[in-house]
Amino acid sequence: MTPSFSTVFAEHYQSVFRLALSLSGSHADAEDIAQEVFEVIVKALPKFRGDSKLSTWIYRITLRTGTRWLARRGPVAELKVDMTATDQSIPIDLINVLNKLSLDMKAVVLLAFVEGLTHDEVAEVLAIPVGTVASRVHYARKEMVKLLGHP
Amino acid sequence: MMNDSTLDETVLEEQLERLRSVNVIDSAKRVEQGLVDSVAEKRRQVFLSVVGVVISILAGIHFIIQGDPIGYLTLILLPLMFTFTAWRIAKQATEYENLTSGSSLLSGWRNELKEKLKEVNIALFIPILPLLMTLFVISKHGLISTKAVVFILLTTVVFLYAMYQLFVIRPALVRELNMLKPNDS
Repeated sequence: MTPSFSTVFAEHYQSVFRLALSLSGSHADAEDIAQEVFEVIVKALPKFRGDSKLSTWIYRITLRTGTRWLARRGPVAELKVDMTATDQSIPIDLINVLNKLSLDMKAVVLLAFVEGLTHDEVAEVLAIPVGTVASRVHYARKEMVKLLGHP
Repeated sequence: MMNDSTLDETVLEEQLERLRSVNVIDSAKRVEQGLVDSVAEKRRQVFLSVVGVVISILAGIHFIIQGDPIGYLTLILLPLMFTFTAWRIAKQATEYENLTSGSSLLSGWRNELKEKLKEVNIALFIPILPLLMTLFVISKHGLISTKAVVFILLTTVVFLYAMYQLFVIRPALVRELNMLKPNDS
């Protein structure tokens, strides 16, 4: 049975917002992306056939909606730490490093390192072989350490 | 003593942990309110669209009663517009329903974007037909006539749609496609 929208919102908002924040690097943009994601979910949930896990479907929608939102917004300069911002918890250096990765690499990083999904789960979300996930995780970690050390 | 690599690993873990533990409670309330507002706005838009359609149908019937062919044109164009809108809505809905299937997220997405770019390129030629019709009507009835004004308005709307596709939708699709480029390494 398809769960109610309020249940989906309560259970998945945190993941959706965190992914949106990782993609955009800004709280305001992440809220806009999250809203768009849930607008899609409101419309598509009644037709959700359950071919995959609900979380898998929501991760896919979030990655696509977030990327589309960023494409519509257009390119922006590298993010800078805003010392006047009320919430300085966003790791700007990490977001800048993520922005330097290709989307297929970034998607693996976000799902594995930020969301804590297993390689099997990441493979299911992206519909790629588990071996590909493992090699991307390995490469991405090395690349991120390198970029964080030498921005 | 820690070497540089271990230090960078520690920095990475610390930054990832900050991202994982970001506070979402306040934003959830704002997004929930945003969703409520968005639903209300969409209802208003649907209501206004229905009013617009009713007015167009009445205008079409009025013109037919007056013996003016513009009435027929209006009643022919309306179903075409409905079909186009229904096709767009159905396509959008399918796009997200298909995300439940096991096809590769990124390669499937790239193919969809390429298809969309083709559609946008075709849409750029749509104004040619109303433009030719407008020129024909102007040549027959002159520029200062009800028929010419109706056709000029129609052509302007179609032309603005094509310009929107060219200057807003197309660049966004190209940017999205570029963002999906696979990693070379």
